Order: sequence, then C-alpha cells, then structure tokens
Amino acid sequence: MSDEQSIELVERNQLPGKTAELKAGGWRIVQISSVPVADGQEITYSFDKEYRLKSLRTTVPDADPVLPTITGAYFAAFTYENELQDLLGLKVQGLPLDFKGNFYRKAMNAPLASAKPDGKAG
Amino acid sequence: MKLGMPGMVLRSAATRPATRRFPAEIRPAFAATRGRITMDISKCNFCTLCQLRCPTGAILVNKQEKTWQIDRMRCILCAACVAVCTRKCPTMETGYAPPVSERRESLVRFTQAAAPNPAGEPGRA
Amino acid sequence: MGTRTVIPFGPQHPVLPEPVHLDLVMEDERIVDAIPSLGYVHRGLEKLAAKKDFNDMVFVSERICGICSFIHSLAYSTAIETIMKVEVPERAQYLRVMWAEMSRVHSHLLWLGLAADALGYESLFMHSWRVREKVLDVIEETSGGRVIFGTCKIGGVRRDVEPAVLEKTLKELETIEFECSEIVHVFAGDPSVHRRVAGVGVLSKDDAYALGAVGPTLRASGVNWDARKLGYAAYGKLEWEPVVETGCDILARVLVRAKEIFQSIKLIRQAIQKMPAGPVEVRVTGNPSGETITRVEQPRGELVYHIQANGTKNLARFRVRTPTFANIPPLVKMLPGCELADVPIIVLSIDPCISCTER
Repeated sequence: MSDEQSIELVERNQLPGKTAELKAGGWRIVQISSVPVADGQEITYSFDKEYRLKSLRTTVPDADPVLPTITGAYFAAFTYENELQDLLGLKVQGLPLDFKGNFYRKAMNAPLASAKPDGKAG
Repeated sequence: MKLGMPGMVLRSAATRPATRRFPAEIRPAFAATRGRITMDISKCNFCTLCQLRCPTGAILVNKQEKTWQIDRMRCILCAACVAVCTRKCPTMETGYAPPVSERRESLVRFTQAAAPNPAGEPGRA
Repeated sequence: MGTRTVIPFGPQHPVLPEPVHLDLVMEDERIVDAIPSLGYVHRGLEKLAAKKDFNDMVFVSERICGICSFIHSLAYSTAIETIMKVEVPERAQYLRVMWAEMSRVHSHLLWLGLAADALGYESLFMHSWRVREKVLDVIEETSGGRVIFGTCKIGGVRRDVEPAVLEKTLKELETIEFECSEIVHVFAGDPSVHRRVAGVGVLSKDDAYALGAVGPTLRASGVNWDARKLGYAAYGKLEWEPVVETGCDILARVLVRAKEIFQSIKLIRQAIQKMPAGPVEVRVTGNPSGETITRVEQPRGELVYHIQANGTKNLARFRVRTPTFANIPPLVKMLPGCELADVPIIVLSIDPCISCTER
C-alpha cells in the first residue's frame, strides 16, 4: 500500500551520487522499473527504509539510450540493470556482471522498447 | 506428548494409509469446487455477453445457427460467464472435464433446436 | 591454489521446483563463485498487459506463479483499486486476508517438504505434504480451486463464504495446527537435520540489508521487516508481529517459515472471528488512469507491483518485481565458500520461485 511514498526527479548523471547518499542513509533497494513515455523511457529507482518508499525518477531518451550503473552503491542492482538491458535495449555503463542482453532467453530483442505511450506495443 | 520422527513413522505404519485408493474410493467434491462449465441452451437468447467476457476466448456463440460452443481446454474455470449471464444459462459443475485424446474433442457444442440436446455433443472447430 | 572447474547446476535438478541455471566455479570441493542464468520460463507476461483488458489481467496475474497465486491477484487488485480510488468493503478485506494466509500456510508447508527432500529426508517430505493436502482441501472448500483460487477481483472478492463453511474451516485448522507442530518439532529438534542446515549458507545482517534480501531470508538474518505491516487489506486491524530470528543460516530460515505457519493460522482465526457481515464487492466501472507502486508480502518476501494506466482499457505498464528476483544477489553472496553438496539446500533456502521471477 502507498503509505508514504515520494518521487524525486533527477538527471541520469546524478544517479551514482544520489544512490551513494541513500546507501549511507540506510535505504534498501526495492526495485528498478521503467515506463514508456514520449520518445524515451522513464526509469524509476525505488528505495525503502522503515516502510517508507522513496523513488528517484530519470528519463532516458530513445536517441541516447545509456545509463550509468548504480552497482557502486548497491551491488544487488546488477540483476535489475541486466533486465533493463534485455527488455528495453538500454546500455548500462560500468556493469560488473554484464550478460550483454542475454539475461533472459527471449525470442526477440528488446521486447518492451518500442511500446508507445498509448499502450499499444510495437 | 510430541512424537519424534521414529514415533511418527511407526504411527504411520500402524494406521491406515493417508492416500485414497483411487478409483475404488473417490473423494466427494465440495459444493464450491469448480470443475467444468455446462450450459442450459433452452434459456439462451444468444446475446453473446458470455463470449465478450470470457478472458481466454473459449466460448463461441453463433446466433444464426443457434449454437453455443465451449472449448473446455481453453476454459480457465473463472466462472465469469456464469456471473454475467442475465438468464443464468451456464453453470459450473463440480465434476472435471474428462480427458480427450484429440484436440477437437475438447470443443463441446450445444444446439438450440426444436428438440434440444441437453448433454452436448462433440463440435466442429 | 587448486585448479578451477566450472560445474553447471540446473536447469534440471531434483531439488529445484522450477528451472534455474547456476555456473559454479569450483576449486576442489569448495565453491569460489556462482553466476546465475535465468530465462527458462520467461513468458513475457508484462508485454501481455498491453493487449488484454485490465479486468482480465487479474486472471493473468494469478497465473504468474502456482504457489503464491492468490497474493499476486491480491496485489494487482489492490494496485488498481488504489489508482481508481475504490473503497473495498470490509468483509472482502477480511476474506482476502483469510485466503492470503491460507496461501502462506500452503506455501510454507510445501517449502518444508522440499527442504526435507533436498536433505534426503523423504519421510519428512511426505508428512509435510500430507498435512498440506488438508490445507488444500480447506482452500478448495472455501474458494473452489486447490491452487488457483480465482476469487480476487477489482472491487472485492468474487464469492462469499457461508458461516457453516467458516465453522468447519476453524475445526480443520485445529487439526492442521496440531499436525504442523509435530512436523516442526522434527525440523527444529532432529539431529540429522541440524547437521545439514546449522551454520550453512550464512548471510550476515548487513549483507542481507545491503543486497536487498526480502522475506524470510531477510528476517532470518535479524532484520525486522514485513510488508504486511504496511496495513493493506485488513492487516492493519489484526494483531500480529513479524517473526524474526537471528541465526543468519539455513536453520534460522527454516525456523522463520515454521513459525510463520503458526502465525498465519492465528491470523486466519482472527480474521474469521472478526469478519463483519456485509457485501463482498463494489461495482467498478470505467478505466484506470494514474500510477501506483503497491507492495504486499508474499510467502517468499516483498512483492512490488508498479502499474501505470493511461485511461484506456489496456495498462501502459505492468511491472512485477517478485521476491525471488531480489533474493538472487544474496544467493550469489551465500554460495562462495560452501561445499558442493550444500549447494542444493542453499539454493532452496531462499525459496526460489523462478516462474515468478521471470514472468
């Protein structure tokens, strides 16, 4: 349930710094997910501490699908970032355990990448 | 007194097995068990609400030929058709659909005619 | 420095309920590193949300997993109800709690059986599953299906349960509770079980928190965190406390799950006794528009549903983060340093539900 939730918009290059702050503050990583928006993807990083949920949100344009990794602060994020690479076709820079798009065995490349904002998948 | 594992094993050896001797003993189904969908075709007015509500597309209604067909292998026993029908034609029975050896035998068709067939018959795909 | 070999574990392995692959890098008999590889049951359910009506997605979400099915549909319905601001009637909330806790009892009994089987203790496995059959009978009597309940929907539940059936459920629960106590007595006290699980698969408290572990894996390492404390459904109105152990090894995880069975039985009793009379659903019309992140507690841990809807009957984004997905990094941390014979029970100790992980 959404008891206490907050969303903060950040730039892509601020992510490693912000996540290091959260790690020092005792926040636990919950999930990383994506939502398709007009010509890009909106990536949401959610963290939890004592039942409060805080999310960082950043936009990745389709023209430049690159993200810095947050595994410096949260090593466990490597599973989520590999999934982003697989399903959306993004490239995450600096990933220590990089499956290069083969984390899931799937029939097509980047199945969720071309989903347009009106909900119809490409 | 709590029995340890040796005690439990000895008790199982001395008492009746926990398993049923199927098919000699059949467990009676509960009243709420969802087994298979069957149809009272005489009340149907072919409004196709059930076909629209079915999440898997298992129901096929043909108003011209006055037939109602269900693919029992596609049916997920959600009972949405039972809930949405205004005349309460489909019902959920507690017995499960029997296994079939060919895919088309899972299609069961009910035809509303002058002499309706209440048991259903294997249908065409 | 010995020579290193790579041994594949899975996808077919007798202890695994679902296929997962691990490449184990070994030096003599000890594991040095483990590299996971998923994807054997990836069904692309997140993409299916773009094609199906959002009302029908309740049925799809229930079928993401066979063991924790009801709680998936509960999370989905709660998420859509949060977006559409629907107030679910009280009786429906209590019924949902009752079914969710029955799902938890069944899942933990299944896991105890699999853990016993992984240790080679087949009679204990059969006894756990014998008691689980009684739980499945109770579930079938109240909801109609043994594993897929089909009772949750947006706006409430789809069927009510008569008082006579609830009375019978309470009586059955007494038998189930007694038989579970016998089985748990063996798990907690038997010396052969102890030799295999005590001190194995250690995950320290800091590691568990930093790597994002959830569920019994987190609570067995001493962290008091249970998503049911967020108060969804009727959990805010019932009295209970999360079960926490400090052992940090597999024995602690066994004890957490065993104690949670008894806690769930007490919760079911409370829910049945406190259940008010009244309607069990509200009618919901229209399409959802908005976004939510909903968290519920599955038997395996914290389940996160991130749903975004844009006013049409298809959802824009349906994202499920399952607890086993979050428990994979702790698994990769637990494996180095252990022996090859301990790998099956360590992999099983996080309660892997791979079909959830890879929807």
